[in-house]
Amino acid sequence: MLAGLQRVFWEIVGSLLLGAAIYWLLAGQPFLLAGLAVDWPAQWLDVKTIFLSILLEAIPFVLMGVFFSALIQTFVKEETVRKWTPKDPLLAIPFATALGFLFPVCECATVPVIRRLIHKGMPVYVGIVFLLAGPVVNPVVLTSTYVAFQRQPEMVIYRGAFAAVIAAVTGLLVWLFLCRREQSVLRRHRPAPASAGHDHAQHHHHAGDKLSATLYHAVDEFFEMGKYLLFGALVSAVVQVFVARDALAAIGQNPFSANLVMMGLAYVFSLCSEADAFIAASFGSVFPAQALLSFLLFGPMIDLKNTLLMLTVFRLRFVVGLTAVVGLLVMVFSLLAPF
Amino acid sequence: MKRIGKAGQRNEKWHHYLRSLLLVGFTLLLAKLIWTEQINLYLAPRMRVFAYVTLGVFAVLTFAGFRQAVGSKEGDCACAGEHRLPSNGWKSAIVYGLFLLPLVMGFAMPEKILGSEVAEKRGLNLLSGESKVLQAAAQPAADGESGGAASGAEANLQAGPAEPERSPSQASSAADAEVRERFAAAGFGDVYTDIAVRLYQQPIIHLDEKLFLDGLTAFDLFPREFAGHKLRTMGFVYRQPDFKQNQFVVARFSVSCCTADASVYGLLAEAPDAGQLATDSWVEVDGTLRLRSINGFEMLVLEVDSVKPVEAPEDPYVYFNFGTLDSTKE
Repeated sequence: MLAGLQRVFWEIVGSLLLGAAIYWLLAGQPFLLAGLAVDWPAQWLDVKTIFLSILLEAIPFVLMGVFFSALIQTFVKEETVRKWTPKDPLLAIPFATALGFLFPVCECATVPVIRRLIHKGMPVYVGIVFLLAGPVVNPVVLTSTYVAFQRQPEMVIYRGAFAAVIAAVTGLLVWLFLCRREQSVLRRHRPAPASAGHDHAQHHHHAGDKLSATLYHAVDEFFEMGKYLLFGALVSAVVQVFVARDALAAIGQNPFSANLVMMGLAYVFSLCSEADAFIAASFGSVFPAQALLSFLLFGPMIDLKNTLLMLTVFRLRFVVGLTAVVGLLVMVFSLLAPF
Repeated sequence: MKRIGKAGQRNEKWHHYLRSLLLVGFTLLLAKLIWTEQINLYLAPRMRVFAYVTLGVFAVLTFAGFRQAVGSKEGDCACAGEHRLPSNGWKSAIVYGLFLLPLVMGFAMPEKILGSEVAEKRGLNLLSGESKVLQAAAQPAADGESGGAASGAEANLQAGPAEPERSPSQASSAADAEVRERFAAAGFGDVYTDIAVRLYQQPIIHLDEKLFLDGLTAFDLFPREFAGHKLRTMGFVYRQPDFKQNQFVVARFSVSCCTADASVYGLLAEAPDAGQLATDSWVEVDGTLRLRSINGFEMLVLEVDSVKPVEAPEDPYVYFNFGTLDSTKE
């Protein structure tokens, strides 16, 4: 009976909230909060603008990734994933790099997909190569880079080629050092009670059940991924509004520190890889081309938003190690770039 | 609300209801932004399509969320404990608080167009910068090729305003070729040559929101050719601490995907009564482009004839066209 009451209670709360929201929507101006609306400091309004804009931009892609992942979860059998992935790392690594060219997704969408594929039996090192290369080595991102750097078309070539090489080298390192204990880098999951065979049983339902399973899964995954995205977007928005770029530029005096600053910015800004070339170009007057390249290489591979997403798949130690390796490789390659 | 034992299931239900309500919130927020066209303040036109699709997806997810909450065991997805619900109250509060935050912000806080405060943090992109280096490289080539033409160009410039008075149908093709040749000689590619030619032929260059960025780039590439031309444009008033009393920038934020990647572009303007213009207020200015040497760079500055305060436009940001010249033909 208590449960029934509770249900009624929630239904009432729900319809009240719904009614209030629809009222706000139609009235345009929030009636009850009109008093609050006056006194917001301008900077926090800017935080709101940037925070919401990152979300509005990223959520469609996260959802795309979530749906891909949900479809994989519901429809793709583990054997299929194992069968499709080449066994030999010398084949598998180029395979994963090329995957980015076939699936033009940015990093918000890759993490959920990779997570699912790894759980379905794709080797971790192959997943890592796709995770790193996918958001850079794809036609959409390279086109936007070309557009942003029309006066330095070589930037596109360096970005694409170095990203592929860095991803491949990192993948190779992961394979060399972790091939025996791949499972140890993954986050441990609490085994569900009596889950043996449960997974399979679920898959033998009819089509309608598969559809609702996919949708339920998408809801769950949206909330799982969403909290990290929200946190990353919030931090990024606050930093962007309160920290001046010139102050950071002052630190980047020599090539090494300039690269470091730009990589740090790429990490914090957490921009979509389709847009970051324009931001990099806007730094053209402050930083040398090498530093811009390091920004373009590092940002899509590792940033605040996707670190948090990665932590849903990998253990903290592995993520820290990966960040260090990728950071080092980006630093070396971008300093070597002959501009 | 504490539950033990059998309460686990009820606990789960509570989460599902909360999530469904949050999804309702997200759906309504997105609907509101699209309905009121406030989405323009957040996303560039080419990204808005995704927002429309997302609205549909959210509606479906909301429906699924409620079904999951109401239905019994069907609600479990097949992923064997991967999606853990937050285990204790504090964690739940933080996680759901995070999801509530954009909803509260979206519904309760008023919309604000990015202005000087953010511009100052980002740094301004004036008519100068990295293109100067390239231009220095391109200049000798242009001079060598068209030796005497340079002085011819100067002469043309003086006659510039009179040019459009000729009947366009007869003179335009000849003038087109002539002007095009001059701009093409610098070798900055067809896109900017096209834009420069188009702008050059206008009696008063109307630098509207469609042409703002490409136009500024064209001025940046061909400062000498555009010196002396009349221009009308609109933007918000921006100042930096090191500006003189009579200086301000007519600025616009450019957005490539979302407002988070906005950067500021503008034209330096000089007007005797500039001090009276409030920072961040929107103005329409008329004036003449003049070549000035600032910090050793030659750059175009707008000598203002008249300033008219205007309302901020519905869509305050500007976007790169990148060769899609159709927009300039309209």
